[in-house]
Amino acid sequence: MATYYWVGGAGTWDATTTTNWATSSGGAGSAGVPTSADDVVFDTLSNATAYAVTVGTNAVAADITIAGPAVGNVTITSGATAVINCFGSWTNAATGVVFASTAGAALNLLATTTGKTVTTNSVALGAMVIVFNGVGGGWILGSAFTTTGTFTVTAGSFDTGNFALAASQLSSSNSNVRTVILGSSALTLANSVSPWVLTTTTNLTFNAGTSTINCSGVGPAFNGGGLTYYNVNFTSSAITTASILGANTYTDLTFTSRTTDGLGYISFGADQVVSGTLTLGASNTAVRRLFVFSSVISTQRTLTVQTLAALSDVDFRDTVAAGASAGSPWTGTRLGNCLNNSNITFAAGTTKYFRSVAGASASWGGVVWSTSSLDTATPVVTDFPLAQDTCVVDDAGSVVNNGLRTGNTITLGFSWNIGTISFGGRTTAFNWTQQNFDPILYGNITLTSAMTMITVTGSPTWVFSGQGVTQTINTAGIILRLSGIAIDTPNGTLSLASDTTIELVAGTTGTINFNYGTLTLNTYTLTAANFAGSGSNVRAINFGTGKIVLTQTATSTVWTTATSNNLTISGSKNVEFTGNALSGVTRTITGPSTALGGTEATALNFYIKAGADIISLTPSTANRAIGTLSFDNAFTGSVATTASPIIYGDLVLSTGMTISPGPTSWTFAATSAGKTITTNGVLITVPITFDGVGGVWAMQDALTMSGTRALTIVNGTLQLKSGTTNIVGSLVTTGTTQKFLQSTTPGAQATISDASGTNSVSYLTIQDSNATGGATWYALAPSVDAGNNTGWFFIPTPAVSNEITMRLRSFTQPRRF
Amino acid sequence: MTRIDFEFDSPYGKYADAIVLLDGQTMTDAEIEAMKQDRYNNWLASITTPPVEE
Repeated sequence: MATYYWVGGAGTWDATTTTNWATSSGGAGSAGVPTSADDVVFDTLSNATAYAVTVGTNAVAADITIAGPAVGNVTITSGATAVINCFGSWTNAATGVVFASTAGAALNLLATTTGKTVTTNSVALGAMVIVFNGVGGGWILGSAFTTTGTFTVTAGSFDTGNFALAASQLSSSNSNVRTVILGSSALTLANSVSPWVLTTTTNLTFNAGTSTINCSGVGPAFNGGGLTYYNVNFTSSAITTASILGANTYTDLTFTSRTTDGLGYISFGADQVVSGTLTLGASNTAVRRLFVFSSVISTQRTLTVQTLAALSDVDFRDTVAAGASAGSPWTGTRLGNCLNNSNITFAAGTTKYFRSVAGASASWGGVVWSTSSLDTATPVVTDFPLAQDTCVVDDAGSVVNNGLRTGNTITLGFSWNIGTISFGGRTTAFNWTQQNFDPILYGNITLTSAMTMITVTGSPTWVFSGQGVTQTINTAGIILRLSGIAIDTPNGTLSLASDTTIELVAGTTGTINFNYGTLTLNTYTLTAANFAGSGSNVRAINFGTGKIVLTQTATSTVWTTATSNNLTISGSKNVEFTGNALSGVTRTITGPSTALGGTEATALNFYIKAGADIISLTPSTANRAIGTLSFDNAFTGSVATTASPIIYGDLVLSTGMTISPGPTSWTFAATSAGKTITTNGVLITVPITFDGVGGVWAMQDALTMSGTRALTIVNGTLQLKSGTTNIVGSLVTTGTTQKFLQSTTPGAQATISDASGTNSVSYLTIQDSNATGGATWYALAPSVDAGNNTGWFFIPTPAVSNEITMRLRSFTQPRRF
Repeated sequence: MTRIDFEFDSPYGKYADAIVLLDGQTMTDAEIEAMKQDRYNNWLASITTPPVEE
């Protein structure tokens, strides 16, 4: 072990450069290079004036002590790949030392013994990442510590020494043996996404002491790991979404009020316990609100709280108030009821009227609301509508006084919680512009034809979250200029009261995200570009006599219910794809996987109405349930399958389309009669299989299969079109249930033709069939000759079969029966 | 080394720090007091106006 002193001013510190190292202070350079066992010192004799040290990819030392030159600063410059590996203690002077670190630079504290100190004198380390990673190592701060990089304890024991610590993130999420001791420190973590990451706490010893953790970002996620903390503050006054993960315990938990209008979202991923005081904004206003909700809608989170600070202007959803603070229900001023709360008292919903002063265009969150229906009413900010209220825009004030003048605009301005929207009484024109916000809606929506939704840049959506209730939407025929809607209504229903179109950009943008609850179409058409409804949440689509129309013309997954567990489908089940997509586009229609809830009950009827593109029906190797599959003649593209579509309804092909050749079978699986297949002369380039007990399929025209593609009957009845010639690559039967090959017209034959080979079927009852084409056709026992057949060799019993087989061998041409 | 511990109370917890003077390093009382205040102010600013992440 030696001590190396930096000399000669500017230079590079890495694992090989010897130039600037001496074995005495101010001594001769080129004395070697420090190793992990050697201490290094930067002191006043390292240079007379300011200088810079460039850190390489592996600067190594045991103890590191850095002081400035006699005059000016030493600048320790660490680029994106620079790494200092410190196997001992770290000390830098309070003055004369500057760190210029860019993102990616790292300081690794790698000691494997305890008693190490880290004293930075609160000198900012720049963006340097700090990692404590030494098995058996132990470090304690010797001063406050500041970095804008992350701070990670991977292994060993870290103690703040009660000093303040500022970093982007504190992380210790692994399974190594490690200890984090916070003492009485104040920690400031500025990362706007994940400032605190203790997700995995295996082998972690954590002692929060009496510390205060300040998460100062606008959208912080606090991954608490289910640990016990002292005080935790979310300090941003412009908070957008704060997320708390882990079932944690706190002494005090505090959220700061917004200082600008808007709604700060606070998401709880688990139950929380606050043994001291919970503060949900100390200075909220009616339009500077907080929104407390569960990370999973309808899954309640219990907040067990000893003392609740005065509560005002907070919206709650899926929240259970508990603990000493909830001996009687939580109460407060202007609390918004976003449903499924327990032990919280909300004022009953009232009606709020949009009464912008002098009829000016205004923001939804402005001082524009009044409980008075009169246009002489003066709006007040405290009348801002809550989630349980009804929001009325009517004709009052459209000419004089307070209201909304003809042609003026309401700007949403934030993702508010909104109750019932009642615009139906408005007859004079007005505009709605939503910018890039996503209001959450809890009541009925009644629009007016006098309203125009302005198309905006971004992805504005409406989120229907009326869990446990029925939300009715009547668009009065206007187009919802939204990038989508989300149906998040567990145990609730979104019910159409009019045709409804969601279309930010016609034919490309507008998605129905169906996540929870019931969607009821009644007699109406729901139009959008895409439908995304894959998942396992309890859901139902009641089509009634209505339908869903999807207008997408660009390459995308236009429909997906890939995972359809817990999905119920009723009514017409009709989905139309009307986009006239060009050649080169692929529209993917992903029905339910048969392994994930795909059954006859969850199969939808897909009608492809136009396009010259590729329709991809089975984009993965999963077989997918489909009801009726129908291509209008305006569709001239092709259909591609990489797995089996399981078709429970009819099949109609269009005259100008093609089927992409493939080895996977199209399976017809209906279990009832009356199904039809219309090929319109399209060459069938895939195998087809009939496999539905009780299913009866009537061909509406001749079937022509290419090459060696097999027609397989497993179950059910196939009726070939009488008077037609149906060409197959082969005819196959499988299974031991009796199945049927018939003509569509009893007494009139249909021809089945195969050019060569032998087709041996069994358990097949054949009627009105002319088998021909060059191949040999055997109907082995227990097949049944039901009459009016030609070209078939019926083999009645195994014994006879053997005899006949023997006899046949003596003929050059088999004898026809 | 000489270590000068100091604290400030704040709405965001107690700010505790130490000015550590290395051997041979000197500061006047005024410089020390100014440094204390400066460090606290910087820390407070890191909460009220978080730094831009790099």
